[in-house]
Amino acid sequence: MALTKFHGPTLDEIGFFYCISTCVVLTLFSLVLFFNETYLLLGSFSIYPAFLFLGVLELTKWTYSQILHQKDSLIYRNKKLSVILLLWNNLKTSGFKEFFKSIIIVGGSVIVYYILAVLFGAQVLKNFEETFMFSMLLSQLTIFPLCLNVGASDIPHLLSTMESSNAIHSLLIMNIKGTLAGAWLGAIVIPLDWDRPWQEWPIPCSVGAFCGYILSHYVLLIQTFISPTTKFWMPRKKQ
Amino acid sequence: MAGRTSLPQKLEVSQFDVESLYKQRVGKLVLMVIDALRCDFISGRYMTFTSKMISEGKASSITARAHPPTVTLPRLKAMMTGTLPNYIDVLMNFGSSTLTIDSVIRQVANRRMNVVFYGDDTWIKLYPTEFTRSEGTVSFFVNDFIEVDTNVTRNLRVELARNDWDVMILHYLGLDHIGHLEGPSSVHVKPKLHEMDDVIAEIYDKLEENDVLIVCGDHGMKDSGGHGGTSLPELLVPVIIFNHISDCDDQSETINQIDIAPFISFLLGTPIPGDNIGKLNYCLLKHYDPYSVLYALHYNAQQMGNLYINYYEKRELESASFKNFLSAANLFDKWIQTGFTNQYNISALWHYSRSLDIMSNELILVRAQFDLYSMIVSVLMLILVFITTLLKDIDIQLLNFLSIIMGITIVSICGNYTYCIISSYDTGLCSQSISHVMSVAVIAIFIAVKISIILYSQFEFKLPYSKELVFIGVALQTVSLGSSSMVEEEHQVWYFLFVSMCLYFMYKRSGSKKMLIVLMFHRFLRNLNQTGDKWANLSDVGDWLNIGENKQLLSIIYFLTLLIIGGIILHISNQNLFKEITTLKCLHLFSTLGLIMFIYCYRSALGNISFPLIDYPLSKGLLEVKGFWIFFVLFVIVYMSGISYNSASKNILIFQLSGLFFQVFLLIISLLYRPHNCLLLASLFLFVSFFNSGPKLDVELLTFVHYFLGKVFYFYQGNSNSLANIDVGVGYTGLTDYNMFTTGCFLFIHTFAAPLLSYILLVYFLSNKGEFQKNRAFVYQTILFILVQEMLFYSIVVILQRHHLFVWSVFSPKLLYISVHIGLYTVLIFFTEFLYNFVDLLTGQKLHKVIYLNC
Repeated sequence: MALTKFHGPTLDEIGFFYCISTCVVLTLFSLVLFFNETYLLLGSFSIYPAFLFLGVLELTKWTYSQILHQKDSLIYRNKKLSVILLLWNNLKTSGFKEFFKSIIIVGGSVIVYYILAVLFGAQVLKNFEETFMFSMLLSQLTIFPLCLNVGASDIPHLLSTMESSNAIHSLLIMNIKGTLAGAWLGAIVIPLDWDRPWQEWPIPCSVGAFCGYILSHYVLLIQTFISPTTKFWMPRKKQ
Repeated sequence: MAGRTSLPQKLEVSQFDVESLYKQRVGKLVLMVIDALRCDFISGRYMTFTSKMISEGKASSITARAHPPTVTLPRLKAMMTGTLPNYIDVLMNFGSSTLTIDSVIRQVANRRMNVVFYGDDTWIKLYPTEFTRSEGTVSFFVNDFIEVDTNVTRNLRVELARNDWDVMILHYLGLDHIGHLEGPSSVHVKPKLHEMDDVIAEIYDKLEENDVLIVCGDHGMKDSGGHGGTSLPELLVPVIIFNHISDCDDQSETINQIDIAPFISFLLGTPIPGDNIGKLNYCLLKHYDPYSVLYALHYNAQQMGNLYINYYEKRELESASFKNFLSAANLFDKWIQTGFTNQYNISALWHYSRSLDIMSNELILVRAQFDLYSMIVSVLMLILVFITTLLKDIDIQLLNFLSIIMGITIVSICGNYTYCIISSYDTGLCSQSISHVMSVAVIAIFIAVKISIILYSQFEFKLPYSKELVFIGVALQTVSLGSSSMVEEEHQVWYFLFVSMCLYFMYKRSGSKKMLIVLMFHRFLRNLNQTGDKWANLSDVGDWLNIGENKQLLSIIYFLTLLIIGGIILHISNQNLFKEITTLKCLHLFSTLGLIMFIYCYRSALGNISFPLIDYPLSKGLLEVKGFWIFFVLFVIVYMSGISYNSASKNILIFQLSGLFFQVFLLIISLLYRPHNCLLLASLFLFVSFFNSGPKLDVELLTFVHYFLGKVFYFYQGNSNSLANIDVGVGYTGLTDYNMFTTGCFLFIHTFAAPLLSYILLVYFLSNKGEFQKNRAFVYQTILFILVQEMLFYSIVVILQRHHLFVWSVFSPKLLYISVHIGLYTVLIFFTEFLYNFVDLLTGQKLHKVIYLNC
């Protein structure tokens, strides 16, 4: 499942798609959350549809990258079933072991984030729901994409070195950094004495993480526009 | 001082018969101040008699709002003068001097009325000559709950039997002492309030029909027991007036505490104090005849209007409040002219009350006069200091240097006085008095020296932090001080940054395991004492341990902690000192154990913890503390002789001496700390040794980490930026009466224990590694840089925010704390340097001896 096999232009194209889809969809999504004040529920279990949506979005992006990858291999002629076939095939080739490993990693990351939140000052058990949802959000925004795009076995290496070997990896690292920095900065408003509902733990941190996530994609998008070597927004020449 | 002449004689048309309108309205007046009386203490549960009288309508109960700082001296001044004293009075709280401004007491004494006073001797210091008879009790000896009050009551009985006084003032301190030591939920509160209730009943019994008794608190009490801050339980105080009918709604209508001054003046028929900004409340005066009430309101409004005009100059004559006053006077006049028949009096009343209300509130807000010019000059000086902390090499040629100093001094002095002449601004720096001129000269020389140093040093601005992230952390912390909530919750910022720093070290793979342990400890320790404002009332581990049923557990923990502290002490001394000399080693062990035992016994005597097997006799622990000091002297002697036996090199000597200082302070602080806080001392040593052995830190970073630890532990201990969190009870460890020097030292050492110890440990660990000698300039520079940049930023914030609503309650105490912090570190640095050079001399002499002997 690892994307390391891809060659340059495809990779750049995937990255571009990643950024632009995230920017558009998540900006709209966060506006919706903001205006119907759903974001105030970020600390309760009832927000789970939003989490599902984020997961589906991530899966869609990943599927698209897979389609791009397999486009030329002409195996999947039957267009209607191609996506499902592709997913199934991928799962089969990379093995269920990998799949379960990913689940364990995501679950473990939730626990790690929970511990971190507690170390930073969250109550140990008293606000379990809030802290748990916060750590869920963080691991959904950081570790889940990693599992999909890097592969469970390569994650420890990537996280420990934080060095990217290709465009997708650097995108993922950037978005992890952005998300965590956002969550970290979000905590600033908690002690202020304004007594607003959105100052409740973990809303500022969750919102911060979310904003950090989106912002890092914007930054990458702008980078690709500025950078002279990559020009995906132009239609690809047919070979 | 306002005299009888200040009473208005006429309105536009009508003339007043002042003598009949403004006369003494009560026979005798008793003012009973109960220190730290909270509003919720006035209930049937605590004060049966009082609440019965209130419900029967024989006494009226009002809630008054005190203004911060909620400390006794400023509150007494507020009640007696009707003005709001400044924050500097908090410091003066520990050494009050004669009150020079006009006050109710002075007015009363001036009218040849007899005033007697019993209670807190702060009053006697404020009014040394005004009382006919008085006896003070020392207010600062907090450990005493009973004697301070029985003493007052004994005198009270004598006075009640006599009949020659007009005004009696009583100030009961016991309740405040209980609050400081044990908090409002203490078992001692109820009997104390019963006692107060009995005293009230006794006085009431002796009062004649037109005598009035006023019972009030000077400030409230926090739920944790202290006071000085701005929370509602501290600010709201009950005022109960016996034998006086009033129509104030107990629930909604809160008067200000300063309103008590004009009210007492009205009752006694004395002129209102000249600087008073409190207002007469109509609800208190309702049953007096309308003519004299209107007259009193007019008098109050005129007196306050004068202050108002003084402050705002002429332009505010147009303002709503002043117009209200004028139209009220007009209506009053008309009412008199129409022969008191018309309804004008009601609208006049309304206008008077309204204008008084507004004027009083506005004068409360603007009461502080800011000396902007001086503030800017001081910020300039801070900037210069800040730049010097960034400089690297200083190359001074004496003659040029001196001439430049002279030049700049003259220029700045001239500049200063030119400015004074041009702006005709009222500031301390333009004053002609000798002390002010002197200080101008000192400031000018200071500026000159700084500028010349900057001119002569190499312009190599090097930020002390090569590490960007650390720099960001410092900057964030400093910037956070711009928000008043962040000042209140400063500990949260430090905790947050501390965790971030540890995680950063972990991420950098340096000493990960140790950092993880530190983090886990941190998570526990931050719950030891909740502090700050927003979450301060959450229950914490410290409270839980101090509940009666957990006494056994606390005792075990305390015992183990003391053992660990003893272990640390033995470890430190054995490491370098008593390697061979067994006699000294035994003596050292003996004295250490003795000290620990006495600390434990002291706490047992106070009843904080339980002693194994036997019932330890409860006392104030005087004997135990004496024992402690005897062993302490033995300990120091043993250690010093150990040092003198080991003729060592300079670096090792510094190492040994810093070890000695660490142990000395560790022991004293263990004695002063409350049992559950002693855990912090062991943890501090653990943290410091982890940081010194775990992550690979260079000297700058290590200094920074130590400063950081000092701050974090300072807050673990339960300190905050509110003055209420200073634990006053500590100052009286082993003392029988108030001793300004000792009490001050104890309070200071207790409050600033963490920064003190972490600094000494820094010197200790650095000299252990042999890095102190060459790196000490770095250490000083780093510490000064952090402190000065914080002070500089904060001063600018305070200047910009000087009209902020919280400037007195939040910003100025923090300024006080920062200054003390800087003072502490400056003294520490100077002392280290002094010691270092002193050691230089010592080792030099020894060397000579060695050479001499060799010859």
